[in-house]
Amino acid sequence: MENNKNDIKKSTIILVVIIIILTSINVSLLKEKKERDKNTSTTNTVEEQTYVRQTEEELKQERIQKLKKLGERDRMEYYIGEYIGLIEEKKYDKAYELLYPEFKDNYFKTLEDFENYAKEKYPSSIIMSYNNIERQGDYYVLFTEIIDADTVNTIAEKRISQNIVVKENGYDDFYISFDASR
Amino acid sequence: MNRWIDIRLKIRRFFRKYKRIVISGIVVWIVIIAINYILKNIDFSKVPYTTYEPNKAIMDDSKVPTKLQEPISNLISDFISSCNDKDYEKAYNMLADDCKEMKFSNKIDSFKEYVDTNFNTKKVHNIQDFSNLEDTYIYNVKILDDVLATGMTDSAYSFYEEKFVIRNTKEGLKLSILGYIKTDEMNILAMDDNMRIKVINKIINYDNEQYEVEITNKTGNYIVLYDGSLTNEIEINIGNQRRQMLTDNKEGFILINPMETKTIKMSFTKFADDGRTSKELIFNAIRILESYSAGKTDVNNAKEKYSLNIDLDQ
Repeated sequence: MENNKNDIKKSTIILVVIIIILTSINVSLLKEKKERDKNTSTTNTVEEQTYVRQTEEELKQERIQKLKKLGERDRMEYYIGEYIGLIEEKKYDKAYELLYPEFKDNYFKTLEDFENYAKEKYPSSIIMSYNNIERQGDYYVLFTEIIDADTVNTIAEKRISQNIVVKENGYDDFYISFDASR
Repeated sequence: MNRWIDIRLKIRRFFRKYKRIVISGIVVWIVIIAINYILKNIDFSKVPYTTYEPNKAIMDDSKVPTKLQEPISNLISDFISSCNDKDYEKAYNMLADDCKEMKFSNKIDSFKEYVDTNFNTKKVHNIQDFSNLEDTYIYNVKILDDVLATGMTDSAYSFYEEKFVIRNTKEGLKLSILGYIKTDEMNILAMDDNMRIKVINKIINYDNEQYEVEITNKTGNYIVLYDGSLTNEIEINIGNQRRQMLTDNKEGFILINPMETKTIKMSFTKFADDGRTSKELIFNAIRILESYSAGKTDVNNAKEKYSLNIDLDQ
């Protein structure tokens, strides 16, 4: 009887030890593989372009991870911030890509049209003020003010009220449109 | 050499003795790896989190059954799309028969007016389950310009909304619009020396009930049921409350000429999901007049005045 008890105790200890050893092996193997993958992607000279692409991809993944932690309102403001950031950096082609295709068809048939509009309407340095947000199904309507950062808190402060519509297809995947008459 | 053999024997003995335990250990290990792998590769948050729950009722948090959610959404989308395309016949035929009859008098021209008024430009829509009553699902549908395509350029931010009602019947989903839910046949009869009143039916809309009432004047006198001089001339009793007849639906001055029979529709505010039942239709100010001349007769000087309650809960 006593022997049996001892046997069971022994067996359990052996089983636990085996599982711990095997799990550790599994974890260390996975870790190693991850390290290896990272090293290959950074040391390979032939793929300098691949490296750049990966970095962009990594940045996108970072943005996605950040967006996953945000609520709806903050995500929409983040998207608008992304668009405004591109305008400030004069990356009009990238900003143009964010416009909803039908909206582009309606108001900015070419990149040049959009570039002219952006240069004329947007200040070179922008502060965004978000006054309200409303959701219409999959659409979000944001009531914003675009403030010229160079004139802020001066008598000559320049503000443009603009409604911006955002449609989020997935994290960091969205379209926007806005009142093009403003 | 002997030592080596001894070790081998010990190992062999060990495996023989603990074969089952070792195998169990390996199986558990494989299962752990498999679960680990699967969990690692599932992205639980691919779809952005939003607070938009179109199939969860605003009024009571109840949900439309999962198997009906997509068919209902598709049905509403098809209807809106047909209205956008001005395919009147297709859209009209998507409506339940009783809705066609009660809301459009079975006339497609009336329906055309509805479409032309609300779909004058290309519209988009969004749905929100509002309230659920057994097999009836009431959605709030917002219809608005395609703001993403226009960016609201040169247009105001506005939308039109109404209740779409979907009934899940044996014959499939039935769509009604303009808040129409159903019609209950009543055929309740009330009589006194002056009148014969028949409550023919009750049309239940989401936010009101409309009674179709046939009134026969059995006398040679004039009978006034409503002239707007009192605030509660016609009411319904819904248990702990009374509701006046809606002013926008009343037929102005309700006068029944001698020996005349008139059919009148009377509407009262009552929400279909308020959990109450209408108990009585109340005529608080029936006035009998020997003669009547429009604009000249003071109906409050009638030769007889009385009230009549009709029990609706029969």
